[in-house]
Amino acid sequence: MPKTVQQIRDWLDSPNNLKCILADIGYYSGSEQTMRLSTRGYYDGSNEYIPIIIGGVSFAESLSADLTVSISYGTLELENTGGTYDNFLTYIWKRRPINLYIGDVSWPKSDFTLIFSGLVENLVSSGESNLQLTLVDKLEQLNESITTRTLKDLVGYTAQNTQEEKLLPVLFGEVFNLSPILVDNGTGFDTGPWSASITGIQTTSGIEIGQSVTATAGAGRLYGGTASATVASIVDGSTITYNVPSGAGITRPIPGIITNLTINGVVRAAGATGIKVSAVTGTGGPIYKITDGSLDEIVEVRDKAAPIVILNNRSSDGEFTLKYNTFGTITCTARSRTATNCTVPNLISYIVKNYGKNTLTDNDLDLTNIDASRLAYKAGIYVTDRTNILEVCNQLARSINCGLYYSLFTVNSGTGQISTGKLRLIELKVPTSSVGAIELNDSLMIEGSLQVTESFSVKPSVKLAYCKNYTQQAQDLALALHSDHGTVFKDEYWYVESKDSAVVDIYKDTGIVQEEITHLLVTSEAQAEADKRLELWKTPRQLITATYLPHLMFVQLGDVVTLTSNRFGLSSGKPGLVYSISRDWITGLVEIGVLV
Amino acid sequence: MAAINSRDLFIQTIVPRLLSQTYTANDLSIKLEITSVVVTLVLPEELPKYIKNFVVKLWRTGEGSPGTSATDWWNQAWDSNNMLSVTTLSTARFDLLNLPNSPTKRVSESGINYQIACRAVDTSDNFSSKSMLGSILLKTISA
Repeated sequence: MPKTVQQIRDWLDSPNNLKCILADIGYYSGSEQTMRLSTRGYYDGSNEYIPIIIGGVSFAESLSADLTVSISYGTLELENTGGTYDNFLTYIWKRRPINLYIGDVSWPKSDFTLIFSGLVENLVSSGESNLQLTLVDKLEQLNESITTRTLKDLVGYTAQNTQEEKLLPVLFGEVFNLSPILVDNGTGFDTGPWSASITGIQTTSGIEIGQSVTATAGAGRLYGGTASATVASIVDGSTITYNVPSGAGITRPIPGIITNLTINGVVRAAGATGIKVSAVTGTGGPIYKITDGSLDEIVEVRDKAAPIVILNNRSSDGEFTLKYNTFGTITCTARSRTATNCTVPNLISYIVKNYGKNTLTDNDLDLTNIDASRLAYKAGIYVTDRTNILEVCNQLARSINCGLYYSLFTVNSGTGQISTGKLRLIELKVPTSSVGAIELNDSLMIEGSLQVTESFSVKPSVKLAYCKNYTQQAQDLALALHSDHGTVFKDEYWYVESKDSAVVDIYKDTGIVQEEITHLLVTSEAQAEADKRLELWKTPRQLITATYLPHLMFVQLGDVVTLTSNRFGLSSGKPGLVYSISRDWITGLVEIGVLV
Repeated sequence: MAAINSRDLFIQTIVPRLLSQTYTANDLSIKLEITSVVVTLVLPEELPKYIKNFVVKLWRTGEGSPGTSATDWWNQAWDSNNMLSVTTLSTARFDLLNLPNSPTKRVSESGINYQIACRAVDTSDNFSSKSMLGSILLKTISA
């Protein structure tokens, strides 16, 4: 069991500690293997660690006010005097896992604490006698295109559109008025001929191919209009197939129960489950693909912005078939997952578990540790280009004022709870006093290191863009549409605004503010989000940084702390949000930036 | 399930989009069954999902006005002595015994005219802006 946080702090304080960093590093040389390196000679009972780690082992992480995504980098320097380890340069290190542990050389490895779990970016040499491993956090494994499949990767589509290299789009959550792509020109609109099966006949004895078929419509229907349906085949003792020719006014058979089935003038009795029309096939209109995946619901399909009826809802393939000829631009509103699964954390979770070469599992995720209302906000994003997974997830996270962060290490709180490195959402929020908040005070600080490193501008108003219209239609709308619909289809975004007039006056602000783009969908949720952001930024905020003793080594980004000092108005303590951290595991010193 | 984004909600709940006959029934048939006028709606093959039902009104206009009204009388002031209304998805049945037999009779030798009007209702209870109209003339059998 790893030492508890308190045990590690006591040990780091102890003058007699024999600090040792162990590194388990994956690499490829003919096969996937593990390299074991350390700062001091160490044997874990079955493996020898090579003591060539020199210099500091440090890693810096930080948030940013605009929540742009940033992958944290660090380096691990290795001694290579005389070129003993030049062969390392021939190995493949990229995107291999690296775990760093800290502990005392006298401890068994199970007592060591994991202080970094990330990936190797590369191995370089900056001089004759050293090598450097560049380390990145695990967000790096999300740094790849979310979609690479194109039209030509589709199988089984006929008369396919010629734009073969066109990317297949992907939908996450719900979006309004997207433009689906044509993937199949179809075989004609729904004008017949059709064929279908009739099941549930008590006996097919006496029925012959070519005989006429009539019936009374129930829930199903032989066909619409006036046609001459004929028996095409006798499948078995209770099932036949029949054909319906095309013609003016004749429409498609509808699956379901029919009554008074009459074949060649003879009324046919039903079996126990009734006589049904099923397996209707026939001509079909063009197929439009919404997403390269399945859908929960196609809310509405539109032609020139007016709702139209479609022939087939092929939700499991993320597409639909048109029923009638089109007059203008085909658009639709669709949802990839059920409404409850369209929250930002659920969408991010779905993306990282299902997209990319290195998918994550539930064990890698901790996306719920944020404000409860923000957890429930619904969102949607439609990706039609090679945007990478990390950017898509970050855009979603930013919609609820959160940053994506991969926590680096293991913390044993001492109560039996051990949290391992996980993908987390860090909420940029108003820091409020909380019981048990970690205290950062002068007694833990390296004297003279306290400084205000950044002062953020006050924002007296916040304007959020939400509910994106993915196909702007200002002209060529269906004539029957009400004039008010024009705005709904014309504007790219809708906006909500939150303003504090008193603050506008005090800061002599114009009150005009640049909008912040979100992928939120619901007006009330966007308004609540704008109000929360205004609450954060309508008062002056500073980033106050200082270097602290090893006691604070396990503080994490996003933690709420109490900052106390005899400077900068902090004498009675002020709640703050940990905004940046840089740790040096050899010296044990940690530089912490706090937003107050 | 309905949309969750506010734009689709706006379309569905605030702005009536039942603006023309496009979204009413295609046709209707009217016949007499014993003492009831039965109106059967002939519907499109597939109804848009935002159509909830149809409201059919019957108006006894009496003798001397045979044929279907040339104007849409949907907003005619309600006359409980001569009007009935039914909400339906397919068939509206008006029992004429629910109308008083005086001063206007239910049926006469020269014929009592009954006007029919039908409008669609969407899921937000908006009515289509135009009615589908029809009429039936009920006469006693002449000797």
